[in-house]
Amino acid sequence: MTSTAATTAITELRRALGEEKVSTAPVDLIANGRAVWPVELKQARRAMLGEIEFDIPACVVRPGSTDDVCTVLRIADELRVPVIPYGGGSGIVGGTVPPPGSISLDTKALNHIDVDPVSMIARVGAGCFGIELETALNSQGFTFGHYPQSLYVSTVGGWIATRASGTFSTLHGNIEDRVIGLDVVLPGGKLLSLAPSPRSATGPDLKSCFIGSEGAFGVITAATLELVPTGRPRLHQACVFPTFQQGLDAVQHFIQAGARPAVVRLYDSGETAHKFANFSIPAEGAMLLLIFEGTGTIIERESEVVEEICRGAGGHSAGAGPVDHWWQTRFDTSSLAAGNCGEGGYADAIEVSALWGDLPAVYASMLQVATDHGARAFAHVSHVYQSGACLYVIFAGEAKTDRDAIDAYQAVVDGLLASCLANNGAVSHHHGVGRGKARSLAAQHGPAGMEALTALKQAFDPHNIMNPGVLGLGEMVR
Amino acid sequence: MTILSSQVTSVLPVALGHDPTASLCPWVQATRSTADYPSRKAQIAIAILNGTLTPTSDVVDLMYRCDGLCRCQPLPGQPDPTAYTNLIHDARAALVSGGFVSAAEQWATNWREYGNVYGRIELDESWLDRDSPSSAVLYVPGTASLFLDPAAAAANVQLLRRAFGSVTIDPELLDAGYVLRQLGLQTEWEAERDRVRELVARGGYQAVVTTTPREAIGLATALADQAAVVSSLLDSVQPWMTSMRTHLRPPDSRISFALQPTEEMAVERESAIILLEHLAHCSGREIVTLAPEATSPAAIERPILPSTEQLSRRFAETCADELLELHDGENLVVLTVDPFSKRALADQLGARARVVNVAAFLCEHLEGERTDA
Repeated sequence: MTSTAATTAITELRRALGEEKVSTAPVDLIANGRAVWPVELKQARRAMLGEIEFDIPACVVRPGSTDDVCTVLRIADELRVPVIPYGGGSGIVGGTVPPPGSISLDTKALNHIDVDPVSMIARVGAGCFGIELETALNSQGFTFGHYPQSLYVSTVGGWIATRASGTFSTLHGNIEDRVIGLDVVLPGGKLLSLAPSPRSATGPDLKSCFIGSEGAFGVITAATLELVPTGRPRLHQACVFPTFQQGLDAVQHFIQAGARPAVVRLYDSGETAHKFANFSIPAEGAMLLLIFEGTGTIIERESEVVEEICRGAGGHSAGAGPVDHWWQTRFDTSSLAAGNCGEGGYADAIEVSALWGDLPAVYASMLQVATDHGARAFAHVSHVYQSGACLYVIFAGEAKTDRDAIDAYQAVVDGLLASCLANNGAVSHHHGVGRGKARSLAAQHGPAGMEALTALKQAFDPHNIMNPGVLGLGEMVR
Repeated sequence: MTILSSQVTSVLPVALGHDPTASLCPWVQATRSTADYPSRKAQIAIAILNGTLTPTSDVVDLMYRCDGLCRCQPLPGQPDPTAYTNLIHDARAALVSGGFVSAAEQWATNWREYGNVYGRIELDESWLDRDSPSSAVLYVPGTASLFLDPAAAAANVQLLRRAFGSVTIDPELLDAGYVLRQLGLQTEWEAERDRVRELVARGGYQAVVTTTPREAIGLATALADQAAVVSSLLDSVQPWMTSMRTHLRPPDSRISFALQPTEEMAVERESAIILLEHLAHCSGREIVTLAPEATSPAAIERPILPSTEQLSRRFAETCADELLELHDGENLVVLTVDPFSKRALADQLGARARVVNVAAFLCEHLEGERTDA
């Protein structure tokens, strides 16, 4: 359904940007009508089979420059038409669900990359795919060092808007640690250009308002990123612990002792058995994968220290084989996809974070909730910090129909997040909030926190045109 | 509950997948459009086959924007690429049979009148060499080669004759007809498949050689239960080429190979690598490179679906840009077996690189006569 305002917007956008940048072709509307949130996948499955209509925006706009984005937001704001920024479409929390009559603002044509080798930074268009960025940087001797599982389909703007993490985060940091400049177009069409600087004490960091804002405050069009030299030696090392808890103890210990492997991934016994079936692991065994990166002498010494701590916690070396196996399959998302393919099937990964002191209880309670809902679940810890870690819970279940699966899925998610909150965890570590976790975010922040977020929203987007519903701000779409 | 065909079930993991390699698709790179993701194309194809989507012109265009390059399939855990390509071909067949593809009638007419989908071919019959003795090796040149690049087709024959001594070319079988399947002309494809099977069986050939790997796959499908071994030109001459490697004259340019990845990724790739290794060996220096992810050719169907011509040019431009990025400023020769790739890349690269048919290149650089049969 296209509203009168949207129809007028389409006419004006075409006049201002040209026909080719404003599409109302069904294939474009259907394509940008979803990302990969399980609810969207179930709806898409139903639509493919003719049970319901596809969810679609009124149009898809593909700006080719920041000026184009300014034009879109000026027109949309004047006509009060919702705008949904859309990058690679890899989001799994419902962050790009189009309300009827909305504009899907697709950033993928904003894909320029300019490298400054002297300062080791790159100014990058928001719509640049991760792998495009890496390929371009590698040819000049650099890497961004940010390798999410979605590297080949997610965009730089999407990483920033969702406050993303990559698998090498323990060494290279998360996205917020690597962005030193940002261009954001605000509703009404004004460009906010936050110039790159290594650090500044010029009042509150305005970039922080937009890193993780999920398109609710404006549209990120470009960013300046800090780079790392490529080709640094890496060392793969795996270790098996008799129990998950012993593994947790070891990771906490070596991180707090100052070791910083680039990759730290500790799998519980369920996921260890699932993922490393070809390796001989004891029944309750928990696999720890480590990748060290840096100069040879440093990583050798660092790995010795970590190995010693792991041994002290009851672990024993499993060689490099399990890490090599993970490396080869690190972009593989087929299990999650398969879980959502069958009628009534649902599957997802929920990533939360907790302090070390709370992590065991968060883990135990979340797995119990999944079991109570009749879903299968296992988990791993990744992205570790001095104070705690990210817990990644993967679950799958079945309902009778796809419609039932949506309800069952949402009930499991709500239950998992409630148990996380009850044990002092944070409801998202790096996927963001979208619409799928919006209710839980309100419980996390409380009334005062949501009032503060709402005030920010009101300041940047007084007419509530920007991605309404994400972060629990504005009208919920679904 | 909706009962799904096994064909649809097998591609649901693509349609509802996370597109872990979408950005590698040249169409996604050229259009920057989410609609070009494999998942979205599979989703649209399923909706077409289920009759739940009206095939508007953009739907038709989208279905013809997949060239079976399979760049979207290289990571472990990806669904069977053949299933995805078959789905797209089935959707095209549904569109054609529903009368939604305006160009289809012309393709079918051309096929009936000229034996190919492109139009009248002025065939230089001299290279058919009708008087040569019958051979156990049948060469099916493909009408795309004959239509677009007859000189390359002649070079292909010359190379095959040097490799095998003699080859048969059957004027009744100049094309295996797989292009019909690719274009969605299912009725014509099924009829042609039966005819091809009969002709090959009657000839009693031991080996059948096609120009491109894509045609080899199509022909192998048609001849699945026959004894004849089907291979693409480069694969077929690879053992002979290895025996002739000491006769290879080093090229004076940097060589890249515009590999044509297909539904079955292994086809031709190994032979291309071996050829490049031979070239590197005889040159004694780094003059060759194989970068299939950067050198995929332009689309085989593109020039004959007018509505996507502009995108087709952008597609070739993307491939050419990638090549130049890899070899900027070098004296570059790009080898290819695909006549469409040759034309599209040559158009885009202009004077910046030379695009050469691989058989012509080998005939020029292989000195001496055939050493074994």
